Amino acid sequence: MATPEYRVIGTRPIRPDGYGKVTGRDLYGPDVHVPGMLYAKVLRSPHPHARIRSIDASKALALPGVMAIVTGEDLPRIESSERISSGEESIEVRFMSALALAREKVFFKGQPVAAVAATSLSIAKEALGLIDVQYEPLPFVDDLLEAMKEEAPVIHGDLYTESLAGKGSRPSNIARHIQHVRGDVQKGMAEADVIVEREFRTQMVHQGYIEPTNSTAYYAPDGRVTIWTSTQGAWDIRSQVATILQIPEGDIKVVPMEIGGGFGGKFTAYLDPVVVLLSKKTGRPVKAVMTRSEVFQATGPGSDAYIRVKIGAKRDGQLVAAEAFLAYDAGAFPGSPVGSAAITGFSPYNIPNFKIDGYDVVTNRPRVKAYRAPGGTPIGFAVETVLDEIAERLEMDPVDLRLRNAVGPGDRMVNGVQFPSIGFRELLQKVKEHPHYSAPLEGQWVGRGFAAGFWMNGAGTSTVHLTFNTDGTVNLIEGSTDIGGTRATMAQIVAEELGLDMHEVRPRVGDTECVGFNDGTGGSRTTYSTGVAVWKACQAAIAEFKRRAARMLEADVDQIVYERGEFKVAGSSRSVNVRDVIKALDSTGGPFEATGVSGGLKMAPAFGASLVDLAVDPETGKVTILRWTQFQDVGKAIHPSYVEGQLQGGAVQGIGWGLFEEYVFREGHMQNPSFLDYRMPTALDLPMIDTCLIEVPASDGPYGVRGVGEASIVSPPAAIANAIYRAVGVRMTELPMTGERIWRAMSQSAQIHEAS
Amino acid sequence: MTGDAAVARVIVPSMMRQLCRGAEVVEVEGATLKEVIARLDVKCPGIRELLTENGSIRHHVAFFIDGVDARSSGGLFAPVPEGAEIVIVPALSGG
Repeated sequence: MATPEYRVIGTRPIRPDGYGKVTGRDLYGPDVHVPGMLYAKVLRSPHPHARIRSIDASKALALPGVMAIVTGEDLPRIESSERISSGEESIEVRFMSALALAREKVFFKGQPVAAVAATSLSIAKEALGLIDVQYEPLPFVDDLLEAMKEEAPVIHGDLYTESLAGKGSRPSNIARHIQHVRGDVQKGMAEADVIVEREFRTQMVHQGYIEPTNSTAYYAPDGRVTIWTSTQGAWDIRSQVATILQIPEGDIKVVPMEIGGGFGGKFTAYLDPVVVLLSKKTGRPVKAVMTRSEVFQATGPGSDAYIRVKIGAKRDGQLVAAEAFLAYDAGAFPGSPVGSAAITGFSPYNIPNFKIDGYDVVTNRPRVKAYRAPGGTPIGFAVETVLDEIAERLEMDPVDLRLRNAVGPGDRMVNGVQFPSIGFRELLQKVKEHPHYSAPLEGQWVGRGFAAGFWMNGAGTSTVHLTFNTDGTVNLIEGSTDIGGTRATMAQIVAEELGLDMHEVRPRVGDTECVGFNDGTGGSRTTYSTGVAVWKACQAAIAEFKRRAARMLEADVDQIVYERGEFKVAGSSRSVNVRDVIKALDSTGGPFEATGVSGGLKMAPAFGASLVDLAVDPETGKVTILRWTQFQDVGKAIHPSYVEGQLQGGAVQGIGWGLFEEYVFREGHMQNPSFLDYRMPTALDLPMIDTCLIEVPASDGPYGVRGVGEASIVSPPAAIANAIYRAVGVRMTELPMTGERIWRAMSQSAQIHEAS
Repeated sequence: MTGDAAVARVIVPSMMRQLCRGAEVVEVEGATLKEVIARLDVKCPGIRELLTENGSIRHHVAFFIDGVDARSSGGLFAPVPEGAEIVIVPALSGG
């Protein structure tokens, strides 16, 4: 149902890209086929840390059908500490280059060492076995706490701990130290009636996007490069390839194909520079598609983490002091999301005294990437579990404890930035009123758990163009990869503003040459920021339409009033419909296009919460989710079905992180790089995920929209842990909470009870 | 420095306060972020080097001017309104 004030916003039209999706006709990266195309495969390091002594590719080059081989020596050498954007974090160019092809040393198992282009995939694979690489294995460290120790092997001899205070004096595996302080923690703890301190471990997990990383490139004889790829950020890929290969950005066109999931993991040019190099060498288009094993081992998973949280509260539930120690694994090169993690845990609550120390730690593991609310889920698991224990000690309702301390507009995040309009209190109130919260929960070994979650949400810059067709329809050209239905959402804005029907708006995602700059689709920014750009383009179009309508109606432009698709002459019955204005553009002054650019937007933070009922099998520890409700302040749901889908998707990924998923390492080698052994939840593991949308308008932008993509993954593991506690009486502090871990915790708890 | 530069309140993060004699809030003039940082460096010697690199905002640092990330509103040339609050924070990485 449309809300009273809107005609299209808030409705659930069929998605414009639906037909191509359900018929399988949409083209994804692996579907790209260019005449004369070669196939590439990448040779990867078998060692977690080693020096490359030599690479002899002569036998492979002699194999019939092999057209070219590249190694790190083919990449321009970049020695400076220049950094480059990789989606929403930056990375030193030399490290980015090493993710494409290693030079001299390898820092994780699976790092690319060489790549082959051949006339068939089977020849390319065969050629990999003919490349002779001599390695000198080096000491490695594949655990972040071990990596932080003084005696740990130093992975990068030129890496020093950086912080806002400056740079450390000697090489370290701790790349970065972040700190947030307010008040006096010791004094605050001394005032507390209850203090809970716990340690937590979470494991490395993968975004698990279904479409594997891929890229196809053609380096034309005139030096112009075209890249067809699966990415969340076409402009990120363009600048990364340009920087790594030292090619002018203007010579590179990146064509973002349909994307089969990203979740933060598809911002990095892993294959793109390699296929460009191979294309340059061969003069032919070259395509590469990773296997699932390569995706697991050579792209960027989400960080594993060690977290210590201590929170003190007064008897009435007021939080008075909090401390957190966060160590996040960056993998082989600096760049874990510990910065956002350090913000996420305590910012939802007004705590007068706190100290947060976060550490970005390098290990000999795959270099991590963003994963949906990056950094948020591990710290959310820790803080929301400790709060649950405080509520229990105080014999207080867990939602009431949050309500007692919840931030509102004007309060400050832990980094000092003031919250604009936010709806955390409204959300918590909604949880209390929801039928799920008070529904009877019957049976043995069952429990109900609650946890809240927070994500800052990004804004950034987007550019869109509107062009117009002689049949009265509108083309919307945007540059934001459509991961979650944003073509539909953006088309709804156009339809709403221009007074058109959805089917009269033709949204498409353009390449880097047909639309202006766009930050990537990440940080829950697209509906918010690209939405603003679309809204601005619509206002620009309406302004020009008024001029055209004035000519058609033989009136002064100042007399033209616009309302919901009709241009009227004020004080008269004369009017013309927007469709007719568009059809007549050629005869009223010629074609034009309207552009909208967003930027300088305030944050539009999102708060969410999970409410779960579950059962634990006391014999095996296996958890069965019985009921799940996911809550979120969404600002304004433009297309509620897609908003609900985002909440459901985030909850499901959070459940996977909480119960099943983990990279298992032994001696620096991932033991489970397949979907057979890396356990992701399936439909059989889950009940229907119910959603509850709370609409507290954001401060900035039209309609009060907030990004909705990420907050829903923050709270699920803590909600599950809190429900497990109520079901079987054990506090889980390690993810994933597998049946084995729960069973062991129950057994240990029983032994303790027997002994006492 | 422009003649009618605005006065801004700069919130200094804990790890930089030693440069500002322990002050959490420093008031400085400046019509743009660049001007504010230049003036801040006079009161907190050495802070400019920690905040900027190669004529841009240092990668590990972010500035929120009245709640807006300066990176999306002009970088070092972001305008600073009269009475603005500028919060210096460690840059975030996101999803």
